Amino acid sequence: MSATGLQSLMSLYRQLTEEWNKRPMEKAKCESLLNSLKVALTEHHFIPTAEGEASKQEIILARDVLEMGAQFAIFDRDLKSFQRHIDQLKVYYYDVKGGIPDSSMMQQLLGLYLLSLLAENRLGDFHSEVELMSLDKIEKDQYLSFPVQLERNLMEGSYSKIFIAHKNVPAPSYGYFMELLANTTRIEIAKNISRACPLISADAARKMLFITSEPEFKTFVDQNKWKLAQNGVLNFDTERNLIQDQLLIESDMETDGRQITAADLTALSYQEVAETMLGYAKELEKIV
Amino acid sequence: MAAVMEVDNPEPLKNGAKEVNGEDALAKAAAEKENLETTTVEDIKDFIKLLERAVTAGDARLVVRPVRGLAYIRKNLNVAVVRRVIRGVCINKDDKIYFAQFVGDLTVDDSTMDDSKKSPYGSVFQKLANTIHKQGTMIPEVNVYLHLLVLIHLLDNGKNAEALACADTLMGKVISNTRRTMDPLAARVYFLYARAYEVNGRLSSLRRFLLCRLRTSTLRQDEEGQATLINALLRSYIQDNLYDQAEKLVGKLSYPESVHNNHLARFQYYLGRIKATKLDYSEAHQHLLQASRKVPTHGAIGFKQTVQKWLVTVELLLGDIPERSMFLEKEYRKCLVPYYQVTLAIRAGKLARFNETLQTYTEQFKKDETYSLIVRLRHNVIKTGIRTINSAYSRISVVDVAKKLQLESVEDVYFILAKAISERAIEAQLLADSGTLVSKENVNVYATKDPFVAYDKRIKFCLETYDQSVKAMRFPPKSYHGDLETAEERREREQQEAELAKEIADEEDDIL
Repeated sequence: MSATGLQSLMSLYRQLTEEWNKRPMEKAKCESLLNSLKVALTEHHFIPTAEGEASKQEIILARDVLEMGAQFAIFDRDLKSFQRHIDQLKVYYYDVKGGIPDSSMMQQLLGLYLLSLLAENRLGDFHSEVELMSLDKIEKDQYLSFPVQLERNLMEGSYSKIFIAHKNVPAPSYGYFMELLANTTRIEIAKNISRACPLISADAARKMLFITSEPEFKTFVDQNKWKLAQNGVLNFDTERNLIQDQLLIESDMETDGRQITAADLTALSYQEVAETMLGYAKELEKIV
Repeated sequence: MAAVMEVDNPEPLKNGAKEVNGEDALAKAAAEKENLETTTVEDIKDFIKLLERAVTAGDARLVVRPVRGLAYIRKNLNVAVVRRVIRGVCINKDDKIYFAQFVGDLTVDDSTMDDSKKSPYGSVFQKLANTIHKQGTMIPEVNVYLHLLVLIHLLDNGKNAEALACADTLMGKVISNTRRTMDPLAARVYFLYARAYEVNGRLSSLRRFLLCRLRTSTLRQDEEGQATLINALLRSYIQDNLYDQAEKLVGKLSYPESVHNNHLARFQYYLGRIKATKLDYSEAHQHLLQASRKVPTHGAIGFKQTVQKWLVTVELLLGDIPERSMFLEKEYRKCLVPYYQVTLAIRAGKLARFNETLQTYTEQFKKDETYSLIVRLRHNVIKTGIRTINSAYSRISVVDVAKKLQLESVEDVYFILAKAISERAIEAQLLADSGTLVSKENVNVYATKDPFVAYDKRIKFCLETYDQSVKAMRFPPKSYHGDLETAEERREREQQEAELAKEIADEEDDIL
């Protein structure tokens, strides 16, 4: 890269940091600066490839810009954009080691990434991400241990701890994902209630869902198509709800227009038995 | 894999030698050693002949036997054997000079061989050496075979740096050749090449190359090669905890089914680990179970133990309690102790005991790389606790459940119970308003579809096995209008079959 090219990039980056640190900052200006920076970076070796080595300065600059982008995405409440930035950043965090010091933002952003995976209920991805980090590091670092602890609570079913944790996040930027996580958890709780409790008073349900205001609860009930009886009690067909997932998968099954019931899934159909038996007969014919 | 390699290396000569006294014993041991060396050299010679035949006939299947034979040659391979073979079959000077840098001087004869034995050998070797050379250069397949022997010898003796150099040139020879008869040899070379890089701590740098070779061998439909390369890649990913990439690789390829069981066992083990990390425990369980079944009956103890550790962990994560008899088996008793303790804690449903066990054996679990899975077991402890309570009480208040499980927050117990019901860990209903847990009557499984499905699965499996064995049968061409074999021919054939059976049995011993 030519020296002048790098110079102009640096000055752009300085402009961006200035803009970012202004309170209140101008969102549109930040965004346009960030975009032009990212475009400019693609013209240089901002990722080391087989063809040419990037200099330390270039790598650090590229990393800083991407980190800025990730933070901006959180500010902008754009989950997809945030995860895209992190995917790019992971190259710098894990693969490019070439003598550059670890970024000060690294742990915080990785912690945020873990939290975003949790909020989206992508537990498999969450765990493969955790595997990449050393256990000691997770235990010592507050940014990383926070989502890991939350995951354990989630698995266990200690949902109240999730809502308590809302109050003591390690950094303000965690707030957005905590909101998302709270929603995901609420949906999970709602599912569990509908499967476990045949009848429950509206008040108790509201408390279990950690919803404080009545109107909010009302919209939640409507969203889930729950039926609130006159006496303020919610009734659930727990049997049917328990096999809900299966019902969804098998809803293409021929049912002659009537609804599938729980009994349909557990009982044997004559047709099925006959088909299987004929199949066996055919196979046996082949052998003898 | 290191453990596997170690246990595969018995020293057959030491047995019983001590009891016989003094010089007698020494002489006897020396004679025995000499004997063993001679038979090994003979074996290698036979295999080289077979290679030559394979190349002339252009039949890649004939190469398979010499390659599989490497497993039991390896047990008796030492520097003297390697030297004798190379000295015997190498005519070309360059070859000799090249191999000499790894196995030492080839010009001086071994002192262990006296003159009477030397001469017949020389002439037999001479004849063989002439047939395997075409215009002064050795047939590439034979050359690679010799090279493989040298590499195996280097790796087994811990000469890592030399092995790396040796593997590099060997790989060069394999890549430059495109004959089908090279494929089975190439598969073996890939494995040892990756192994040489691994012992030097450089396996991760090899990924690009391995992927490239995988593409080539897929195009050539070289199944052994594909299987070996896929395993090497998965191993390298898992070593660096890159489960995402490993999963993507597995998702995009189809694993050749007809390869040797040892490859399959490894592949299933890696798959199991990937799935377990991704929380897909029932899949993981199936794969690990397959791995433990495909493993050879004798030997490969290190591999078996590792698979067993993972199997127990995944079974626990599934909420099952492994059978007690498994922990008592001789092979596993010692290495499974930490897992046994964890199982006991879970069975009892006691959180405190679980935490204690976890603390005691943390280092062991970290070494086994199962720590992150074991940590996930915490909620299983609670789940088993709930299960026991549910089957003991038809109706119990949530507060009492909290007390029994030693959980502080009653509020959380509501959620935990609701979750357990929702996941079908227990068959019960939660009456939230009165705060009680009411368990359902036990359902009669035989009235449902389950037994039907289970039987169907087993029958399908049997039919599938039958189908495959029919497909695997081979008939020699045009044998149907040949004459019936004479008694002598039959004897010869039976002897050959017995030999083959012995080889297969030997090879089972060795998973490498």
